[in-house]
This record gives sequence, structure tokens and C-alpha cells, in this order.
Amino acid sequence: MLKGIGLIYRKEMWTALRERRTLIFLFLFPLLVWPVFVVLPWFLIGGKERRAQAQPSKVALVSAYPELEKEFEASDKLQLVRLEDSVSAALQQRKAHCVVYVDSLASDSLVTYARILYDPIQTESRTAADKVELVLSQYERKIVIERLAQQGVPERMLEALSYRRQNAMGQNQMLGYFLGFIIGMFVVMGSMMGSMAVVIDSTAGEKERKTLELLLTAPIPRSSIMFGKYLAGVTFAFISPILTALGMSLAASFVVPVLVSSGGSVDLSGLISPGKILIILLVILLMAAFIAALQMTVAVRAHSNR
Amino acid sequence: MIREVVLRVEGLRKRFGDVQALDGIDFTCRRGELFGLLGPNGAGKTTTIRCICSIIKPDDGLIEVEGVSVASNPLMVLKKIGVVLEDGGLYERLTAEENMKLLAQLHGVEGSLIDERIDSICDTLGLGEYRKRQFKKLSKGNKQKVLLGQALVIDPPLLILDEPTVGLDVPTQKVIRDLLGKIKKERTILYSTHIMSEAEELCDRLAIIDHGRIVAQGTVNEICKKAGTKNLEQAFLKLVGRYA
Ligand SMILES: Nc1ncnc2c1ncn2[C@@H]1O[C@H](COP(=O)(O)OP(=O)(O)OP(=O)(O)O)[C@@H](O)[C@H]1O
Ligand SMILES: [Mg+2]
Repeated sequence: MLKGIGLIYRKEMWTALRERRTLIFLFLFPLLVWPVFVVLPWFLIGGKERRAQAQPSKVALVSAYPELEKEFEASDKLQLVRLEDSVSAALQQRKAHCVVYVDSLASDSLVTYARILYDPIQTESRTAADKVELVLSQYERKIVIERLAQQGVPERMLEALSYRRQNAMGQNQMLGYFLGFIIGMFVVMGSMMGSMAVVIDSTAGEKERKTLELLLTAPIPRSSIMFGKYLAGVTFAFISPILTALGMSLAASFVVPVLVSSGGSVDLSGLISPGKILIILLVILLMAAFIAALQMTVAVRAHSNR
Repeated sequence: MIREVVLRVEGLRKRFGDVQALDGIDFTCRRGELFGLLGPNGAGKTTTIRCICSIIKPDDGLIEVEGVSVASNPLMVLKKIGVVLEDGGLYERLTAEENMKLLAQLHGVEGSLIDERIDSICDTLGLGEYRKRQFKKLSKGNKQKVLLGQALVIDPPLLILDEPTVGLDVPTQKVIRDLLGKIKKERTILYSTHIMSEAEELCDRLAIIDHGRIVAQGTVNEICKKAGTKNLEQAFLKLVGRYA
């Protein structure tokens, strides 16, 4: 009985591994295709943002305040351009990354109103709006300080609270998030894809290629035949997600430095202890057993026309 | 001398939906006999064979191989049978040799005995240069030879062949026919075919099946005599009642 299971198992593994399709699903997808799919967008977005930050943003200023214009010119983060078309055309054609309107008001008013028009879909436009906001707030501060000075109030009266935002998550936590969420999803998918071809080939495939009946004339219990095939399915459903996790971890060690934008390599060793790895493997094994059983249940019902 | 019964089939019945595929089949094959099953398409030959190999369960009837009943001990019976099924295949990704080896192992043949048998089978069938080729890359004739080899490698007391020469060219048919002629002395062979000349040449005894019943049984001469015809083909046409 055990020998029968072993023979069937070996046969299924052997025939599956000779199939190019199996190898693609088992190795190429987990180790290369998925990691690249996950990593690439992060890199593209991250790269675009960094470039937008580094280069001066093109800003069209529509205002009756020459001082403000001077302020914009003085900033090395901004480059003033002229608005030739409509605002939306200028933004769409990227002639300007954002457009600033400053409304002139009655001269006795203490407040000037400005509008920053930008395109939230474009990374460059978002970055430009941020930069303009910064320049405007610095300019506002300068004016307020002047006004206060005229009233005899010292500059430090302006400051009551100082605060800033800081990323409290270290790289390892970011990595944990990445591994736990994104990889978790891919591991389940990897498991399903890894065993799918083998399970279908060894059940419906045997019927289709007319090999099943001969196999059934072997003097071993049908349950052994079933079990041997099932174990082959479990093996693939188990190995594939492990390879996926490996591929994704590798990908994560590239992505996470970009996410927390601090460069350098990521230290995986502290994050995953041998004990945890054992638990993870056990969970993957249980999942593999479940997924293979599910697939087998469906696949044996296919093509049962004889 | 009456030889020992190897295969006994009694009152075999099988129904598929509203088709009564087998309607009480009785026959016996004795040791060293090549027993032919003849019958028109849909007569029930394949169904009989699938019941003997416990691929399907008959509704009624008895099947015994060397005194062991299929119903009560199917695995023991299967150990005694090598079979070439109608329209059957083998594993495409495995080589001719690996396929034969797998079937031998599944039937409990062990060690160097497997290789010895494969060597001699490849020799007899002229498979030499093809034995390391993947099954799917073989020609139809060579595939059929490997299928036959797979049944022979088990070295079973009972060999069952369901139309083993169908769709093959004349030389390949002859190779298989010659082989059967050669090995039939040592084995019991149950063999289904449509080719009358083949049956006439090879079969020690045969049964003509129609509509799931046996309409005649015996040696070629006995059947011709019963039908009152000169040759088997005429007897066949007369017995199954389908003159052109
Ligand atoms: N799985 C099945 N389901 C339904 N009907 C079946 C099934 N297998 C066989 N039959 C029917 O049973 C009858 C006997 O079929 P069988 O295949 O045994 O004939 P055969 O003598 O082998 O014919 P052939 O010479 O064409 O191979 C036919 O009418 C066939 O349609
Ligand atoms: Mg048939």
C-alpha cells in the first residue's frame, strides 16, 4: 500500500518536472515574474518623485505683486514660466507644473488670496504645488514679521509651538508590513498556481490522455493512487509559495529602502527567527494540503464522461 | 488432456443507462490458450474486458482468474493480468523504457528482473533504438508495441489484448501477430479483434459476441460447422445476422 503511494507519487513528480509548463509555474513565476511585478512600480514611482524633487518645478505666476515674483525667482526650487494657454492646457502639456493666481484686493485689506492650481494625478505637479506652498508660507512669514516689527513686537512672539512629522517605523517594520501583507497574498496565489498544473495533469489529464484506465489495472488500491497524486499536489503547493516568499523577500529588500527613502541594505536576520520560520513552514504546509485537496476535488470531477 | 481454467466468466451483465451492454456472457479460457473475442462494433467486447480488469463493476455475474474472484479480491486478480486496453495511452513524458518499468513496478516486479525483461521485450518487438525516446515522440506502431511491452513486462499468467493491431500497418501487425503466435504456448491470452484472418490464424478457440450475448463459441472449425459456412468471415456475418 505504501509502496503503491510511493510509486504513484514518484511518477507524478517525475512527469510533472519534465513538463516545461510546470517548471515555469514553479520557478519562473515565484522567483522572477512576481517579484519584478511588485518591485517595478515602486521603483518607477519612487524614481519619478525623487526626480521631481531634485529639479526646479516650472511655475506660472499670475499676479500684480512684483515682490512675490522676485521671491519666486529667488527660490532655486522654482522656475518661473509664462502662461500662454489655458491653465488646463498648460498643465496637461507640462508647460507649467502648476499655476499660481494671486488676487489683488482693495489696498486697505490685510489679506491677499492666492490659488495654486495643480494636477493631482501628476507627480511633478503635486511636488510643484508643495514647493510653491513652502515659498508662499515663507513669504507670508516675512511679511507678518515686518508688520509685527512695525508694532514693536519681536519676531520670537510668532513662535508658540514647533512641530514636525517623522517616520517612526524602522525599515524592519516596513519589511514586516511588506512580508505580512503583500507576500501573504502572493503566497496563497503561488500555492494555487504551483499545484494547479500537476493536479489537473494527474487527474483530468490522465483521463484525457487515456492513461487512467491502465493505471487502474495496477494491483494497488485506488486510494493509494489517489493519495500518491494528492501528495504530489501538496508538494508543489508547498514548494511554490516558499519560492514565492523567497523571491518576494528579495524584492522587498530592494523596495523597502525606497519606501522609507533612507537607502542602505535591510537586515532580515533580526526579523525572522528559526522558530518563526518553522511556524511559517507549518502554516504553508497546512495551506498546501488544503489547497491541493480543494483542487483535486474539483479536478477529479472534470471529464468524467466514461 | 483438459487444461486448467485460467479465466472463467459466468453470467456477466452490465447496463449503461438504457443500453444493456452485456446480457449474460459466459466463457472460459484455459492455460496456454489464445481465446478470441469477436463481435461487431458495440457488441460488448471492451465492456467485458473492462469488467475483468475491474475498471468497472459488472451488475451481475462471476469473474474468476486462476480461481480468484474479481469481486472479492480485485487486487489479487489484477496481479495476474497484463492488459492492452482499447485506445489506451501511456505517459507521454516518460520514455518507452520508463513506462514499461513503471508498470512493472506497479505490478510488484522487482530489481534487475525488470531490466532483463525490458531488454528481451525490446529485442523481440524491435524497439531497440526507440526505448529511450519519450512516448509521445513515438510513431503509432511503436506506441502500440510499447503498450504491448508494458503488458508483457509483468509476465502475467493472463494477457488481455483489446484490438492490439487496430490502425497499424501490415508489417507492424505481423510483428505483433508473430509475437502472439510465439508466446501463446506459455500464456493464456484473451484477445479481441475485428480482423477475421487474424482470428483464424491465431485463435485456439473463440467466442462471437453480439448485443452483449455470446452467439457462438468454440474452435474456428466448430463455429464454421455450426453456421454451416466455409470460412470464419461468412460464419461471423451469418451469426450476427447482418448480411450486407
Ligand atoms: N461508459 C459507457 N457509457 C455508456 N455506454 C457505454 C459505455 N461503454 C460502453 N457503452 C455501450 O455499451 C455497448 C458495448 O460497448 P463496447 O465498447 O463494449 O463494444 P465493443 O464490442 O468493444 O465495440 P468496438 O468493436 O466498437 O470496440 C455499446 O453500445 C456502447 O455504446
Ligand atoms: Mg471495443
